[in-house]
Amino acid sequence: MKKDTDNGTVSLGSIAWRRFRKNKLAMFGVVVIALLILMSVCAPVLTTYGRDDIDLYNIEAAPNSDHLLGTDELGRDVLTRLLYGGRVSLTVGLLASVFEIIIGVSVGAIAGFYGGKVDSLIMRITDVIMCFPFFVVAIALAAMIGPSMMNLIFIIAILEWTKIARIVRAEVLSIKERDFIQAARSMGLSKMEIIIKHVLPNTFASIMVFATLAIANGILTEAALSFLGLGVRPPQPSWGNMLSAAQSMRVLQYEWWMWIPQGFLVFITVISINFLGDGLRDALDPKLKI
Amino acid sequence: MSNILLETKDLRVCFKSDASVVRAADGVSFQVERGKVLGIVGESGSGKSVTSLSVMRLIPKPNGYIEGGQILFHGEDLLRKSEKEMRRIRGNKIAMIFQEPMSSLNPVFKIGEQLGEALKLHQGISGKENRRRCMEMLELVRIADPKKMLDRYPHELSGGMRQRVMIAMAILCDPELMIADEPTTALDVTIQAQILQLLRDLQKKREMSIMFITHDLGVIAEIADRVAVMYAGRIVEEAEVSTLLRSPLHPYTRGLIDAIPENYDPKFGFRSIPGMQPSAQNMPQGCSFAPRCAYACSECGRAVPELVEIQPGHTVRCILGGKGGM
Amino acid sequence: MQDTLLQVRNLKKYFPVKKEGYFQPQKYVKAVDDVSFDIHRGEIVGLVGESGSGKTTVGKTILNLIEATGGSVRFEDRVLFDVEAGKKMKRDELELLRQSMQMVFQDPYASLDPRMNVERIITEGIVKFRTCPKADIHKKAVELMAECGLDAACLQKYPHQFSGGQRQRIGIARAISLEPKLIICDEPTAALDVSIQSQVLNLMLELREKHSMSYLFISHNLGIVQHFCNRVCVMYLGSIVEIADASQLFTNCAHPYTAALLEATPSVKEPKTQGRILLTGEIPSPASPPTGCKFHPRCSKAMDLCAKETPALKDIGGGHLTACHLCC
Repeated sequence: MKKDTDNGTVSLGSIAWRRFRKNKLAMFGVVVIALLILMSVCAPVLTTYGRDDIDLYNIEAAPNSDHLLGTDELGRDVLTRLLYGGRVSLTVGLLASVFEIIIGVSVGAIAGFYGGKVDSLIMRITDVIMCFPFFVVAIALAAMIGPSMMNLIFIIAILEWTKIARIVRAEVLSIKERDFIQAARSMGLSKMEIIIKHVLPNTFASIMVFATLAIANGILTEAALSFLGLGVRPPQPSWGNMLSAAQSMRVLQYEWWMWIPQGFLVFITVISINFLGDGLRDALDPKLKI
Repeated sequence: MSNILLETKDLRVCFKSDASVVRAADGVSFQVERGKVLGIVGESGSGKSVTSLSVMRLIPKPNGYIEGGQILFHGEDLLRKSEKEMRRIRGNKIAMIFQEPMSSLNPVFKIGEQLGEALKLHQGISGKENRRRCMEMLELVRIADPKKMLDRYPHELSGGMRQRVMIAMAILCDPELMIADEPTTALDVTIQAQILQLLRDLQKKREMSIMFITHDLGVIAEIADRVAVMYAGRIVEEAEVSTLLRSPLHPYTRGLIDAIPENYDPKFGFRSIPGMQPSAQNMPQGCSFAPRCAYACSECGRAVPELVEIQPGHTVRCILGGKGGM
Repeated sequence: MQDTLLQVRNLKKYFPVKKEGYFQPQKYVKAVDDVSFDIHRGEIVGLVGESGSGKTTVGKTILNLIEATGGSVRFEDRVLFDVEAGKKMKRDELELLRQSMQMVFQDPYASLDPRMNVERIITEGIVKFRTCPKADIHKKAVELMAECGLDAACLQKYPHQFSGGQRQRIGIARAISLEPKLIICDEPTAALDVSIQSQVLNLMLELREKHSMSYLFISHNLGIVQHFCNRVCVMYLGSIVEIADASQLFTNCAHPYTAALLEATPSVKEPKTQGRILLTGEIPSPASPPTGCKFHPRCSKAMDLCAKETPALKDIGGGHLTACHLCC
């Protein structure tokens, strides 16, 4: 504490970073995620096989020195497809969460700040959307608009933004009553300026935390829908549609390389992101105790 | 029998934070006489609340702890008592009232239930006798309709009423010492005046001792017999109230009295003490008031001055020994 | 005749209370009930009262932070709003006018955005209204800091790195940044220690002198009001019961409530441990105020008339106004 007052300027970011660094689990999460992103981006460099290279002489081969994680039912290299599949899973998670936040934050902030009838209307709409059983609607939508990566992102975003909207609305409601908002109003700032300059920055912490959890959720949803054949369409690989091989009893019993690495990647990604989110929550605590 | 009910000797209380240990009360020694009111006055961060909490052994654990010293109640050291023995003393022999009476009352129980429970716990009185005693207490704190009050919930009461209920609860077991930590700070002046008068009357009638903690010298002037001024974790001056207000010896006390708006002087405007109280992390060497003191000399920075008795019953912690204050 | 800066007439603010039953009539808490007063140019007007008297609501209603239920407010020659006449200033005009009317808040911890550094906090208005060229904004911020007794090296710091007194100085720097003509101060020193309080009060006096501003000083501390203000309005349960020059009010008050308030204020000069006349009871709920004079149930001099008729605010000589049946 002493150091801060002496040095004078300590930006809020550096305080958060210092606290974040102390959290071992969160740092573990960051490292794992960074590695995964790096590996899927550099996939062409890391493997000599092409994504869809079929090798009919080597169908469902167990892991060996040529194919570190074996091959699938068409003789494609599993490791290669896992790396490329990571691109899909991570993209779906990231983009879905970005869209959720864009919709949710704007809707939530408007509802919370303007209040009254606007608020009731928006909140009833979110209530209705939240009442839908997620998977039934998602499956129906996927069946209607067809399975593809972009459609998947669209479906997740359109069904999941309500959560962030509710969180942001609640935050805005409490921030709205604070004196510094009144100060900004008496300064002559318009409502929009107040929302953008004062209200949203103060909800930043909860938005960040929610965003990480939304990524994890997006990845899980992608895996689940693709597993059911409603997500990413083959031959494009994703962790989810690769897992769908495990629908066969034979694969489950005898060909572990067809599903355990896939499942493990989903698991490790989601848990790392959750650690990261928890770390962020503690580091960005708006009470700003140093 | 000795006339001293409570005495602390060289009390030191520390708080641990992430990296450092901070001493919130440093060598606090004072005496509360039987049937008298000792006022402890100081600004926020002076260590006055910490001192009162440590008498009750209620320093928030695990970050806070009593580093050393003695707290003698009837000559027995409270710091050596077991938690079980302390529980018997708290509420029974030593009672406490706080600044915010709302948080000290449980919102889901009626006033009667909360009062009754305290009585049952400490004195084993239950049934009709219990209810009768509760009503008696409420009457004593001048609540107009005690019977109705028993069946109300804390949120139905105004701040002043809640503080009365808290006082009733505190005197329920006829304590010998009451610790009042800023009991009127959250109240309006007209209500504050009522509560102060009530406390004064009760104290006289029951020959109770009160340790009254506040930041307001005006309140001290009205209720206390003796007063100790705290600054940055230490007592800097102690005297009878009238003496202290009339002829303060420590430059800080002097500044504090001058800063009261009532003592506005057209010649000087509103008088203040320059600078601010040092935080416990960067306590200056020597006298902690020296950086703000108009009379400070190089010697002030050398060592913490001792409390010296200048006149009988008037002690001051300043190397000028009173020459600075006058 | 003095130059009137702000004119408040019959200001009312009623807050609806939750209905007890569906068919019950809608009840209101009359937080501010028919308040009228003027502030002259360069004057400090005190607004005192206990909690629940509606003094803060008056301040916020004048600034239009809360919408008034009735009455009118004029600033210089412009009408901010006049509910009865259905007049209301347009939003962009109001935003412009806000430059001339600023507010300083009670809680220095809640009134500064924790995610902005000091420079952004105090220059926010300047940036918004472009009152000085972009290149000079930093220079202006340094000037403001110096004026308010703060170290300009702290411009990049965040509010949590300051003490209460320093934060209040930041709040004042923000308020004067647009060179307003009136500042509404809502208990600016209530959260501060005594020795710091005077520093802030002196700063405010100094700044007023320099920029020839007026203050509406809302406070419950009579000691400060006595020496800080030129004129004082005393509020009780949403109404003004007495208006007088500060010197007049504290030596020769007319309303029994003012007298009781003065009597109850603790004093170090002449401690009144015994024999003081205390006000009995507490402020009634503003949702169901007493009939007639709102103070009569607690008043030692109440007559039959007091319960029946509401006394009007009348001049009893020399601009000393009071609302009491005894005085007329």
